[in-house]
Amino acid sequence: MKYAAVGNFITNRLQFVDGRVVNDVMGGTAYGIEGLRLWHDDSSIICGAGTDMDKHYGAWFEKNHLSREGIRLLTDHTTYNYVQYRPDGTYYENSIVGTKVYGWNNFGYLTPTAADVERVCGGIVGLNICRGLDHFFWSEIGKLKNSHCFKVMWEIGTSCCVPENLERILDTLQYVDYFSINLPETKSLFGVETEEECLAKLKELDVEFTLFRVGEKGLYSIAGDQHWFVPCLRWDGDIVDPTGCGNSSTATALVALCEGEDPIMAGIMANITAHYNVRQYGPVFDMSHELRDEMTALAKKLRAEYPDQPAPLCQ
Amino acid sequence: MDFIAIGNTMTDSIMNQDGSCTEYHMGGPSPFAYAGIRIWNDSCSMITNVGEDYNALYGDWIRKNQVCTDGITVVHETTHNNILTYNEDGTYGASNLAPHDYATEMGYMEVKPEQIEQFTKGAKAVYFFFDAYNPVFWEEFARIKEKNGFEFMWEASGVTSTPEYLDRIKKIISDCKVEQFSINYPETKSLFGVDTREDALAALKTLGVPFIIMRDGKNGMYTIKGDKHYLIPSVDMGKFIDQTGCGNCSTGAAMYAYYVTRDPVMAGIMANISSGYNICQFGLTQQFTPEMRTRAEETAQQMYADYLQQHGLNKQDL
Repeated sequence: MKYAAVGNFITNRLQFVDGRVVNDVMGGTAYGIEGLRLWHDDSSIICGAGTDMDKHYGAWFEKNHLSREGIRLLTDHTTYNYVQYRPDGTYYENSIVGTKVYGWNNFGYLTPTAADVERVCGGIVGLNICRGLDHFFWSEIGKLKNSHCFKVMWEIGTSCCVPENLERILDTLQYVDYFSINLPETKSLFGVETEEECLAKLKELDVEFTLFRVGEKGLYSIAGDQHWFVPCLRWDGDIVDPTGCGNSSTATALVALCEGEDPIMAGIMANITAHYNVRQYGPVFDMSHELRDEMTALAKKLRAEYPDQPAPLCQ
Repeated sequence: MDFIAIGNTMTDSIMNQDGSCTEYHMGGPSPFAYAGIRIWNDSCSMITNVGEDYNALYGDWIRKNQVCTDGITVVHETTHNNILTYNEDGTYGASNLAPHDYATEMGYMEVKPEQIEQFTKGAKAVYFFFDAYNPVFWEEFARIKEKNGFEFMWEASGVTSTPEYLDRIKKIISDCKVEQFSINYPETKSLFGVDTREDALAALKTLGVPFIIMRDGKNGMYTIKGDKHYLIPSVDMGKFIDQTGCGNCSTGAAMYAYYVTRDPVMAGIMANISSGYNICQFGLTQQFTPEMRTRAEETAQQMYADYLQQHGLNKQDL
């Protein structure tokens, strides 16, 4: 396994603003896998799961030849949540039933530890981690990073992004190479209002690269004191479900950078992943080489529109 | 180590009736059960997950009592902490985080099967406080128990002491060949849907576990061996401060005592003596001394002789 998303499967029951309800949608770190696997075959997940995971993920794993090396089957139930979207774009999320079996305790038990990462990190080039501020976890990842020389992309969670956490976030970044955050999170974290102010604050962070996601507008790729805006690549067909665009695009940026692409191309590829992610419930089901060829051609075409030639971050 | 206490470690604060809270104290099923055993025997240890802060919280106690730390694993930044509120019937609620954060953290801190496999090698008897939810875990536990060959005291968690989990509890008892079982009276009533102590005891006797304790708050505990049961009154070992952990503490001690004596009366007495020490402070017994053990042993022998005499029992009949 060359690239791994570290997190949890969360199967979802989605309720949309118009009242539609869709059950059994793959989610959680499945979107991280998608963002990696769309661009690189040797990608999968490090997580705990229930023995029932094949019910919702088995066909997808088989179809895309996803490795199970990093999966520990620890309970009989994979996490299953209820997600209700609100008109303002926010959402309510809770476990599907109140019992521990399906609920948050199960989620905690299945959440991978640093020891779980250590078990399978030989050969890893890049880890995509969506996680909170647990100092122990990050310091252990730091030790593994030093001994195994992989790159770490951290997609920070919304609840962490408050000013009182800033010092801890800056401390955590010592274990991180690439960072991903969205506009509302950045505003909240730094107490600023505009994209320009956000960009200025993010450029001060001690990371090689930041993926600054600004919703339907697109994203900014930030490296050093430079930034490039990469507009959203709109899908002209029906946008079935935007869930997971942030997770999957972040994971793609990691692969892009580790495979030697420059920061602009990383942003373009990230947007292309989101462009395909919105077309169905859950992640793209068939992540074929034909699809990758199509995506790669599109990325090259879009990249040609940028005159800048920044150096790749990972040679 | 010969005797092992498995379960979560927590730091507890007790909410008083006026809404104020005590300072945080050491606690959780694994440390409380450890303390219950440690009154009687030094060859004991814990299997538990803690935070990076555990040395600050527990370090003095560990060093002072030369507590074995082999099975203590750091997995998180902070050790799980609770604010406990007691109800009049002895049941309690725990809160300090939003419910889903609390549950997620609890789940993250639970011990994994590989820890139990590693640290129960050579153990004689093992205490474990856990619920009946996860069949995958229990299948693995049964395998480990068979492989490592220890005797097992299961303290059932209240969250699955409900009728819908009765069949699963029976299956775990059967699959794991549970030798000792601990539950309190309110949980027993809930599990079997009964209302009296007589019905609760009768129901527990159907489980087929060789030795069972049914804890009954200030009344003490019932110990059950085969079709006989014994009410062992609680023991006063000092001034009452806080009851937190008495169930874990007494269950740990009962496991040790029954393993050593095979005597349901002596096991109940020793269990109650351990909880008699446990109520004398917030958190764990601060220091385990030779004097404490001597006093505990002498108290146990005297109470045992008195109990047999008062109830017209012969030791060989127990």
